Amino acid sequence: MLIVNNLTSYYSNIKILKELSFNLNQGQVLCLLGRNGAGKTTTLKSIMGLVDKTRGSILFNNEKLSGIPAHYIPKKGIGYVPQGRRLFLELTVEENLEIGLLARKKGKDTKDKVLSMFPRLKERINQISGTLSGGEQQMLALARALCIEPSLLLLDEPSEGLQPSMISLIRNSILELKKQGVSILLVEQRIEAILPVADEVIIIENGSKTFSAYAKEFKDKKTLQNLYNFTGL
Amino acid sequence: MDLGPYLLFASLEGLVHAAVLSLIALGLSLVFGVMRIVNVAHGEFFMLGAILTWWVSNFVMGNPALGFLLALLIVPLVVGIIAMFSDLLILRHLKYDPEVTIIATIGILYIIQQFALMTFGPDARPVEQPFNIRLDLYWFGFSAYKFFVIFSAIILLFCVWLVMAKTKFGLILRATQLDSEIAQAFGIPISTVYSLVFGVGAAIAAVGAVLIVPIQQAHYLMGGEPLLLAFIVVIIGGLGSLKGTVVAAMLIGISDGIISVFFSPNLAKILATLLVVVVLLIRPNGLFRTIRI
Ligand SMILES: Nc1ncnc2c1ncn2[C@@H]1O[C@H](COP(=O)(O)OP(=O)(O)OP(=O)(O)O)[C@@H](O)[C@H]1O
Ligand SMILES: [Mg+2]
Repeated sequence: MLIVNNLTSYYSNIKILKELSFNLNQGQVLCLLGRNGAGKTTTLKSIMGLVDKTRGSILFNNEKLSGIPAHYIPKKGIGYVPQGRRLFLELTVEENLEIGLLARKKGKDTKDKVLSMFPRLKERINQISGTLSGGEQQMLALARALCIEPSLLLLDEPSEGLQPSMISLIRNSILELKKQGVSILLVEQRIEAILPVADEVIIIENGSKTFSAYAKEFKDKKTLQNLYNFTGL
Repeated sequence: MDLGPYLLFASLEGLVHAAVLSLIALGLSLVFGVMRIVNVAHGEFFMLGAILTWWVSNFVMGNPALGFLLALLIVPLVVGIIAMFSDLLILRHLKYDPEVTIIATIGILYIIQQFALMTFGPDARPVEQPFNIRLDLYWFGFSAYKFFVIFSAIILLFCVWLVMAKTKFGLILRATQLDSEIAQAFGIPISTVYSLVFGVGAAIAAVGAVLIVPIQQAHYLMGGEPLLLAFIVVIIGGLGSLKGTVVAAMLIGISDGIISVFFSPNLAKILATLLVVVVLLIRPNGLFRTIRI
């Protein structure tokens, strides 16, 4: 459903991504791993149309995403959970969700469904989102993206700065969404965070794909060793 | 007149100017808040509003209230559309780079000013008050129209607050203001939002202009002083804060009125500018920056 072909992205003429290619099938979880500055966030931003200068092609359900204005991309059913959450911190929980709902004109049904996944947000619906705890903020960032009822979800380091119980809660949500047929492109730093959910892993180094492996290969000691080597852990 | 009534008179005069000033400053603050750009041409949109009001009211014969009402309806619209076009044709292509935008809006300032001079001439143009009623306030008479100006400004400020705080459009503006990149990632067409905000900001200033010309006369150089005062108000009130803008406009407008009546208008401007320096020293984000909307 998502086909990225020879994606090359620039920030002010510096080449950040170099001919990156990968596919993501429906209901699959594809993980991008890589060191700091490897270009993981840039990959997600390029898909969202937020990088001014890109080459190559991005196809989503056989539609070309590259070149169309950024604000049309979520309307195609792509939800984005950015690195560092990027909530509208001065708005309430409800207003943040409202922004998500507006993207594809979803209504109360969607909102209720999303809130039932995160009861803690429901209790804090009128709280200013900047005053939520880190874990609650991450839930809200995820909930906001789910308000567009995405068929593809881009998650940028959702476990960053969270304690284990919160990480497993996020992981369970990912598995639940996968079960519902949502495709997920997951960026993480640490291998342990993705092994239980990933169908395929791609290692990015300096903006290029240097290694990839399918879930069934994870048991293979050599593959695992390779993964650890590439991420520098 | 005794000191008390005299002070009351000066405060009322100040309040009229504060009302118009808060509209001008609100437009400026809205544009800065959402688009993060400083619009140096803002005062010229105000001036354009005033001159167009004169033009419209000349056009309509008979009862001056008719011309005024017509101006109130179409002048802000026309000024807003002109502002939107200057955004579409110029600012958008500069990608709203802060420094470049300042230079560009200085350019727009001169274009509008010279256009007004060439088309409407260098004379100050009076506009008749839509109604000529004096209210007897025991010690002195005060024009009912001036109360109307204060009242209209309050209504408009309230409407803007209502839109910002309670509507979907307001929510979209606030989200764009807080994080434009993520706003786009959630389907908000930020360039359309920017054009609208630039237009609305200018239109609000134009409403202030329509209200003030029956008191002040229209002139092609009248945009400079309100721009300076609006900057002062926005800095003191805190950029992008509606409440701060209104409170600071009251403070500046009323004290300007009182000091101008008792001492001299120049002293009032000097003190206002001094106040900016003091506020910037103690609270660099403005008095109300922590309180939003
Ligand atoms: N807006 C920008 N302007 C210029 N350079 C940028 C910009 N954003 C990112 N970069 C550069 O692009 C490179 C890749 O950054 P990116 O954020 O994609 O890395 P990442 O893999 O997500 O890293 P991390 O794990 O630290 O989040 C870095 O060298 C970064 O400095
Ligand atoms: Mg990153």
